[in-house]
Amino acid sequence: MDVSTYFNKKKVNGLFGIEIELEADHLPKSIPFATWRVEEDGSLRGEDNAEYVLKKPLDREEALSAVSDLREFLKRYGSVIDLSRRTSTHVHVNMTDMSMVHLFNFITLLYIFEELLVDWCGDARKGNLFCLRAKDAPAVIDKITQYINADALHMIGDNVRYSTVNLASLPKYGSLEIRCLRGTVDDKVLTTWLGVLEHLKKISTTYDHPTSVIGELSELGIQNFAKKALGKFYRIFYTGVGKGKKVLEGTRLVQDLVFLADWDKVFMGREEIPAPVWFDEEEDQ
Amino acid sequence: MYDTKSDADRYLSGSIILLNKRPLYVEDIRVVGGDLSLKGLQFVKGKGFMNRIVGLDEEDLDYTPFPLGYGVAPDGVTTFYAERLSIRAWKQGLTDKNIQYLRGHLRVSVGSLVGLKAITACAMRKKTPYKVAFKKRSFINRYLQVTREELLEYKGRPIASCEENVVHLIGKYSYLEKYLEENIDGRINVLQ
Repeated sequence: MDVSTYFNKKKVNGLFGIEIELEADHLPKSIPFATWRVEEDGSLRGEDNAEYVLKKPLDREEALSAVSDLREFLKRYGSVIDLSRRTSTHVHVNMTDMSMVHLFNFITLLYIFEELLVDWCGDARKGNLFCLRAKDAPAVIDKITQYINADALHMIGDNVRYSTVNLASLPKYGSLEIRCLRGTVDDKVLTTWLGVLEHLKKISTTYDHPTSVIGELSELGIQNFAKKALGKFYRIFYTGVGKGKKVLEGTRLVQDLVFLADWDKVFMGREEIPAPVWFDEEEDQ
Repeated sequence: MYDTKSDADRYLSGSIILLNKRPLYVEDIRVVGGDLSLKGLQFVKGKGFMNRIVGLDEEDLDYTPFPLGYGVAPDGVTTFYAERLSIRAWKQGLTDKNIQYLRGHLRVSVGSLVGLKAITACAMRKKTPYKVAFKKRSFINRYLQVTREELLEYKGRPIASCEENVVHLIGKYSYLEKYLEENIDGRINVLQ
């Protein structure tokens, strides 16, 4: 079963949708690019604020180029950006080209490394109401398991929305929303961030089941698994003291999903009500 | 943390955060000497409920969600298992809306005195050795408890039957074997 069929979403091209929330002394409310639209966001304050949203998903290089256009335009406009703790960058990773197995391998990897990823995103993102980690709000794991086991994943919504890894965007857009990055148009930051998300999505296709992800971690040990799974991003995200403990904690949290979900429900597809068979058709058979 | 009284009020009032690592119910936000402060209530064992007025930038305040787990309902007998939800609701602290009680467990009201007392005990839970918990039929840590029926529960789910020195873990939960080894001073027997 693939994601687009399960959630009844059209397959779309482009890997990333991006929403950048900014606060500044003044910000443009319309911009001369076909790639961006400007929206209001009720959680923002500052002297002026705005949210810049990509109109359609773009692959990594195109997305970075669109952010570069936006950054240069803001510079020309004279906006002095305030690095406020209220602002964030939400990245939607397009999942419509994935199978449900690979989607949940990806989710498993994200939860395993969630604390490392959020640590890198900045101090103000840890425990932030709008992007709670599973360690902050562990009920998210139970909720996802419940939705899977009730064969109702397509109905998941607002009760998990303020998670770092937001599944509520799957039935809406066919994407997985990662909400933990601070509000930024910095090229280096976004290159790393989109890079690691693309990398983790890619390696999620190398496992045949979420239990295989956990199995490999048990087999290799935390540090070797992190080296293998994070690849060239290992040195960026797995630095400092206590990272192994954080990966272990993430793994312990996601294990309850990986081992208690009735995966057949999502991997084999939702049960369809059989179409009625008319008498004429029966006679024809 | 919060620039205006209305923002602080929106995100904090009526919710529980931590002051000095102990739950604090935020009653309201006020301006004291030109600075934003919160008025709150804490429960301290042996001292009862205590009023607090603290500046919002006070270092001892912690707005990060705190872990919950097993607690005792106001009847003093029934246990509950609670976790924070990542629901779309604009409160930084813990409220009745962003707390989940598992599998029909009794609820406590976050804003009530008995609720604050129960949440405080839940958040401050310390570890108890398995053999003591087995004798008392009580909590081992915030995620494990021994029930009156001599079952070991993990996050509200019965996962094993208990004896004084051994735990018989249901095969479905064998992924918890290592976790139990770390938290139980007894033998873990995985049932196939």
